[in-house]
Amino acid sequence: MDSILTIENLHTQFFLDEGTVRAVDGVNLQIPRGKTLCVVGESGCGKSITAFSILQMISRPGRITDGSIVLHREEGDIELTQLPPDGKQMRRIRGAEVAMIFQEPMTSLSPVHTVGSQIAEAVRLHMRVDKREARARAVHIMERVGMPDPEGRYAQYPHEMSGGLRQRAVIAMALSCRPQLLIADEPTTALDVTIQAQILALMRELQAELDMAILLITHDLGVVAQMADEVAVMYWGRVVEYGSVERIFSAPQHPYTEALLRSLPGLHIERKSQLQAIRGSVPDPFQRLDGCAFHTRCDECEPGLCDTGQRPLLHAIETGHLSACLRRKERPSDG
Amino acid sequence: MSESTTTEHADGDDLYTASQWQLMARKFAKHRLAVWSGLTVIALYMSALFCDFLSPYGLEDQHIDYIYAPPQRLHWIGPDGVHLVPFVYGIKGMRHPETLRKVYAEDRTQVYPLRFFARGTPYRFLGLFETDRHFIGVDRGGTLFLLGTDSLGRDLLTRILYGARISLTVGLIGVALSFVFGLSIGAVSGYYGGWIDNLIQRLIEILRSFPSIPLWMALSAALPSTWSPLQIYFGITVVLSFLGWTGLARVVRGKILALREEDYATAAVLMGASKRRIMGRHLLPGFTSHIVVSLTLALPGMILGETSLSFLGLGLRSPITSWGVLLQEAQNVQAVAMQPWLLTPAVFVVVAVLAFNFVGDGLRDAADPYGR
Amino acid sequence: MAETLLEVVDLKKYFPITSGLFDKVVGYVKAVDGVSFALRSGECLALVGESGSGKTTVGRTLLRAYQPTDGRVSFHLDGEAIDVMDADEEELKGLRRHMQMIFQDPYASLNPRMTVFEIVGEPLLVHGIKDGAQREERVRQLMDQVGLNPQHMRRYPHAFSGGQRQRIGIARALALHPRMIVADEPVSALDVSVQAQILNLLQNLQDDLGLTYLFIAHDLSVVRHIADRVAVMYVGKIVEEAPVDALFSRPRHPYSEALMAAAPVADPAQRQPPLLLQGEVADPSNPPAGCPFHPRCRHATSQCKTEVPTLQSIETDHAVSCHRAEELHLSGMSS
Repeated sequence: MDSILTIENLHTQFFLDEGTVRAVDGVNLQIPRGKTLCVVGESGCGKSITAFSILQMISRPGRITDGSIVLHREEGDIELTQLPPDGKQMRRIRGAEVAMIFQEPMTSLSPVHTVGSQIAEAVRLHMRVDKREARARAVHIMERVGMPDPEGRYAQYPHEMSGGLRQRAVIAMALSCRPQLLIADEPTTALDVTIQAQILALMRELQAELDMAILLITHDLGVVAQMADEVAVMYWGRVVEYGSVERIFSAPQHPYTEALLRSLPGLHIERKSQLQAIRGSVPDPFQRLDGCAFHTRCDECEPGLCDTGQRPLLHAIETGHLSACLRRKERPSDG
Repeated sequence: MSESTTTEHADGDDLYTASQWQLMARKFAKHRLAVWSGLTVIALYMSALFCDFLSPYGLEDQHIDYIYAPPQRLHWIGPDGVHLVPFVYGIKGMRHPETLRKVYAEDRTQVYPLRFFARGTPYRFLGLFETDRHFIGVDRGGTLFLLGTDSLGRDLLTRILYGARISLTVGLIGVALSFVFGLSIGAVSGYYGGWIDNLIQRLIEILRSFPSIPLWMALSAALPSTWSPLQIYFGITVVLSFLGWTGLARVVRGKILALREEDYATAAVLMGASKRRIMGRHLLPGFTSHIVVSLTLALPGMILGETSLSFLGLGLRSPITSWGVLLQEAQNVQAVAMQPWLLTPAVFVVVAVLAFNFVGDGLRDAADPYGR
Repeated sequence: MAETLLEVVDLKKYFPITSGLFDKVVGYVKAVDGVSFALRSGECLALVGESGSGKTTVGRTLLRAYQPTDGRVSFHLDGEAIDVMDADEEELKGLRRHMQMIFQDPYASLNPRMTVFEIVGEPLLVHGIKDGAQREERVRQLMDQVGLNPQHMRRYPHAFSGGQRQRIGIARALALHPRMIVADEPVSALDVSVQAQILNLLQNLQDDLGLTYLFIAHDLSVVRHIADRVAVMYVGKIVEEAPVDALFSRPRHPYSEALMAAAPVADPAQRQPPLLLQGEVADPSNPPAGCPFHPRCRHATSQCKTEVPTLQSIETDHAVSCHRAEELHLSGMSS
């Protein structure tokens, strides 16, 4: 597989008064070039921290404690964890090669500058163009991301725009330098469904146009089904299943993925019937657990196997489909 | 479907049943600087309370032979070897032959060991009983001026300790009154809203635009001249507290407006709880910790206020002894150059103000144990 | 047909927009602008819409958490209709026993400074059950009923996970044996795996206690699962009201259709058709003339731009507010 980014054995920990939170606890991921990889999981599973780790945006009391993140570029590989987080190289990579958008667009927009000038600024930061050229490009990008009346909107401040328009502006800023990888952290969670559909469609279009890879972080399995080529399911700091979107949804190979899909209300479930909820809740983040982290809630848990020893690693179930379930070892294919 | 897998923390059930104040105390205890500052504040107030016992002399004791005597050093090693109890040498004053100024020199032949619970000027201990025991002192004939003396030969350490009594407490009533006003007016403004709120907000804006020092000058001229300086000062702080509540009132109003929109306040409305209950049980506890913090941060302002106004001659005046008055007496360049020890009250002011500020910072950090 | 429990007639709630030194009213946000519906005893009516549709305001206004601008709400208790809007303090307190609310945010809805016992026991205390032992017994019973361990009643909310907190909020709502509960997005802040637990709990409680729900939500798959009837809101008005099956199989309002099309289906085999809906949700302080949906509607005619449609019964139990309802053939969610 031709990948743009390879994450190996990533550990990111937060050292708090109450104890150490192993937010990312041994993540292995490859982001395929030009495709969409969705990382899905519940709150606290470490999916956002993984994304922040890639761009070295972890601040104290958090720290990347182990592992490597390699960006594969035309001019050669570069190991991101070795770069100083605030150094020149890292700053150039952020934005120019790897861009990021967030759930709340206001986190990336300054309230005191107009939206247009911020997009133009982003253009000028990474491209050698003069002011007028930057402005023209900014207007062009704004038009491209579907902002109606881009000339008029150029002079508007973020607070004068709706959430959907702001997210479009942020996408415009992120894409102004044609990054090879876009990291999108819950980009539509704060938006209404009709606006969400617009933004997701926009991301798909722009991906095809720019041939960029997208790392989409989400908790919404519906969004995953609509957007993903590949899916990584995370639980409690680790990827527990990885595979193509079709396989993940049709033949999941980890009890957690299965349980998540089963718990969704939907057309396949009889109305008003009992949903198949996952019992219990996600373990306390300060806790240490032996064996598979999901064993406390798993119906298939085998005492003596699943609740002892090291956390299980991903292993191939079939080509391109990996699972970290200890009990799915012996099944070469799902039949 | 029961969700019973509640995981236990290292400190177990304890943390889960800990109330807000317990969590706050725990977090404060981790803030070292704040804890030490807290102890400093306590020490300052204790020494103010027991100043007549702690100080070696009485407040008005004058030593006419020792005018502007510099601080005496405590020694452990004397001509006869090491002492278990520190001692001071006697000091001798003489006129400098050229400048005719009085200079002091240690008289190494006279050794006065430090005595604990020494006899000295009689006083009433906490106003309860007559005694003449002082915490430290020296035998008759010797002197103990650890921070030197002033223009009348009064011991500066004694005066600073007595000054703490005034400086640390004279503004308390004013601060307390400001808080009562701020809290109640802010609560009314925030809870009832509408035209009441509008009126109060405009009033606050007017009051905040009064310049305080000219006001202070006018007030000190306007209060009856038959009042003692302490009464006048006290009167001014009370009057100023009628103006000083505005900051807190704004904070309280803002907090109430925010907390009123919290879902748990709505839940209380929807269960039919009375206004009093919603206010007392749901809104007020939401910012008591912030009030404690702003109270701690208001106290250094009070100390600085006393010091600076007395220094300017607008606050307390002799014969009252406060840190500001002491500094006012050191208010000339010559004094500062020749008798630098007269500035030691400023050190106490700085220490007290810093200690209060650090305690306030520690409390502020600890104040919201839920906001992680 | 079950008897009517709650009747809402032409409910309006306008929030004033003020400006200037003396809070001069310069306009109104018409959050709810003439909403009428009836809630039948024992049913679950879902109120669906995007942000700004006024669905939350409807719930809060009919419980008199907000003072209504206009309209009538009557609560039918033992054959007697009580006017909720004109009730004085004393009457209202009596009514509050029967009408309760569950909130969206399990963190904001519990006072962090009170123990579970104090939170769940507060309605009992307010309604005159002063005896501590009696209250404790009822709290114990309630905690058991919502699936919490009664031994944890001395704990503070910070000791509980989001799902458990939501259970505490439900227990509080149940304390006074209400007839009706307004559930304002009760699962949208929860993780997928916990969502199903809470939905099951709500359904079981409805069956066991004969509760009537007004279920406010934006997630159509959740609504389809739990509700009997649905009212779709757009900018302060109900645009369509129908039984769940009828609405999902054949919506009659273009907005209902668009909402369904925009909802991401958790099935990669069913990727979304091209976008149906362009533009932004209308601004409730300045709604468009005519049908408020017309700027986004692909079926809009000149009539829609000038004439305000009214909610018309089109079949039994099925009402729609669209000029072209009779002629349009819209598609629902495919199954």
